[in-house]
Amino acid sequence: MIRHPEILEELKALAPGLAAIGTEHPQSAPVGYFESLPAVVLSRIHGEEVLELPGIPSFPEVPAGYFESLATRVMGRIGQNTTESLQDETAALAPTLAGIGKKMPHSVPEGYFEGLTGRLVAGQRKPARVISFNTLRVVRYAVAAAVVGLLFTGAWFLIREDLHGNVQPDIAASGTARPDSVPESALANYLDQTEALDALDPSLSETAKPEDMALLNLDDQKVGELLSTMTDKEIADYVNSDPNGDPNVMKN
Amino acid sequence: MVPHAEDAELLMLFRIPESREKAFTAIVRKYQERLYWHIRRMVVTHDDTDDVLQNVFIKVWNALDNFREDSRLYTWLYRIATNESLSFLEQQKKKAVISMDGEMGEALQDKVRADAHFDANKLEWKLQLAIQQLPEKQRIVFSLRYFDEMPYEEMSRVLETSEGALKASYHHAAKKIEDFLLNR
Repeated sequence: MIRHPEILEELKALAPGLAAIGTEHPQSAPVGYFESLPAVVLSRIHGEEVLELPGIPSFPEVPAGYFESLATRVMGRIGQNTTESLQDETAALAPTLAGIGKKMPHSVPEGYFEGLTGRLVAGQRKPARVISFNTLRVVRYAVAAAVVGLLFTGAWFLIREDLHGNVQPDIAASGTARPDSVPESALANYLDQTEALDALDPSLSETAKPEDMALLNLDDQKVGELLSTMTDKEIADYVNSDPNGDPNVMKN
Repeated sequence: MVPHAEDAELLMLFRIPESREKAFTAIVRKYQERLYWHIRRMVVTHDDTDDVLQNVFIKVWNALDNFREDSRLYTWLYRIATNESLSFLEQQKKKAVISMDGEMGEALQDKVRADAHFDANKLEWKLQLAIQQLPEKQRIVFSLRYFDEMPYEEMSRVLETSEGALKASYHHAAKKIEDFLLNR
């Protein structure tokens, strides 16, 4: 029975039936167990041979040689059972297969198995090739490549800009390409295209002024004749004149 | 030496090399039965209890020099015994591939029934079966309160749980056990 009054009252309130049962253990400890326990614990602490505690029954003796031959006997039984069961199973599933046997038709080079262990050991002894992964070196190469790439990209953009810059100033200054910088083939093409446009749209030739049409109808011989009548000064003045002031000058 | 010398005196004697073993023997004799039954209510069989109890005292031998005396020696010993019992049960679960407390409870009830003196008609044996069907923590709380008559304050130090949680746990455990006893 619980002796502590507070705990007893608590249990009576919770579980009255339980309060009446009592606290005696139905199990028991072996006789002499507690008397020997301190000595047993100390012997374990000091790593000494553990004393046998009283009351704990010892195991019956084992026949001499039992454990030495146990592994062999067990393996023998396992092999026997396995072989018999496998043969039965194969015969049931495929009788023809069961009759074939397990001899391999291939042959093995002479001395193969004798030297196998030695070759394996020799292979193990070879030091493994170590490929160091030097992270720092890789990072350096990557940075160098990035810098070179940036330089090339910058240079390319500069050159491109430069090329455009060389062409533009002439046009920007004059408002048109200089006749002497325009190849004759380009001029001829222009004229041909203009004639083609006229062919497509007759209204263009209708609205054109007679003097413009006269210019368009000039061939190379006539142009040469006209130029020969002009002085160099007249040609230079013509070239250097303001194209915006003269409607006859070609505008790009 | 007086068998039940005060704990402080025993601790002092333990720290002196010449009297170390005698002091330790005195401590074992003083607490062995209480710890034995506390462990046995957890693990059920004598052999398992013996294993756990010896491990507990070996740990006590190794750790007693560092015992800070901020709690009673009795509380400290119970805490070690409780932890060792729980560790033992955890190992048993793994060996038996048991994943749930319920399955462990059934296994422990089987061990109770396997005792040579088991008698299903006797209330004391039924009580043991009823205790084993409780979850581990409830089993410990019930055992400490019902059998060891431990105050909740002391129990709180042993189990490092609040007194409120312990009271609730004990109340549930007591109700479950009574229900088991009445209906089985």
